[in-house]
Amino acid sequence: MKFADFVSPEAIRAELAADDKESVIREMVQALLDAGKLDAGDMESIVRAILNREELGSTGIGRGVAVPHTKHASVDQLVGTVAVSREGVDFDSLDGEKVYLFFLLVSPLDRPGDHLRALENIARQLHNETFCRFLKQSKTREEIRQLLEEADNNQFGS
Amino acid sequence: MEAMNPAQASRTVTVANRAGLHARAALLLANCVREFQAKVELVMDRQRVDALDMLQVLSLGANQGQSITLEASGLEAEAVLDALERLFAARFHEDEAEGEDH
Repeated sequence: MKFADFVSPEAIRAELAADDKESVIREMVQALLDAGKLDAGDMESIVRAILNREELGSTGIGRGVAVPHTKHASVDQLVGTVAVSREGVDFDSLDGEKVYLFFLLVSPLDRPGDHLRALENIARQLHNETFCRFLKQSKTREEIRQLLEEADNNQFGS
Repeated sequence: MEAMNPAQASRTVTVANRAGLHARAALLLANCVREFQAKVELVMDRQRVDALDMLQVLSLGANQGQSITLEASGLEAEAVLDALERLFAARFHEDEAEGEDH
């Protein structure tokens, strides 16, 4: 699976204003809503579900990366977005480090395979230090969109 | 078996839970390994990753049904594999309570 298969370009956020876990999740869900990927009426329920998932164990998987996510009945295909925080956010990560790169995913109830493939893609690409560094340094949505596209074209190797 | 490494062990397990080796399963895996004096690597196809590195574990994208070889070294190599084998067999405690989480 490629980034283009689940990341909504219009929902990408280069400079997150949020500075704690809940507000990061709200800002990213709002971005998906603004991009027309989610319905406003589902916002609270989706934010709650993602926060509940975080209670089971942080999705801060280390190296400054987090993958907040949930299943939700309101979507019929995997939707996701990417956000970068300049200052970093305390996300209760496994390694205790702040998180700078966020990949938020909302999956249909019955498609665990797609979710796994998206996680696999994110983890593989972030394993490349150049991609990771460029992503953290991105200042605009367009820069991030181009980086994701380059990653999709295997321009970073992996 | 080398004299330098008196405790080494390996075992092959199968990913039994429906969702595969996703984020929470990877966290449970890392937490389990941390309880023992041992280093554990997961070997799948030609890939070898450190069990404590969630990013690497997720990069395997291991589906339900996938076989993974666990290689442990250290004082508690056998004990950590016993615990991990139980964790895989118990489907990371998730299929019995399929809810919103995954």
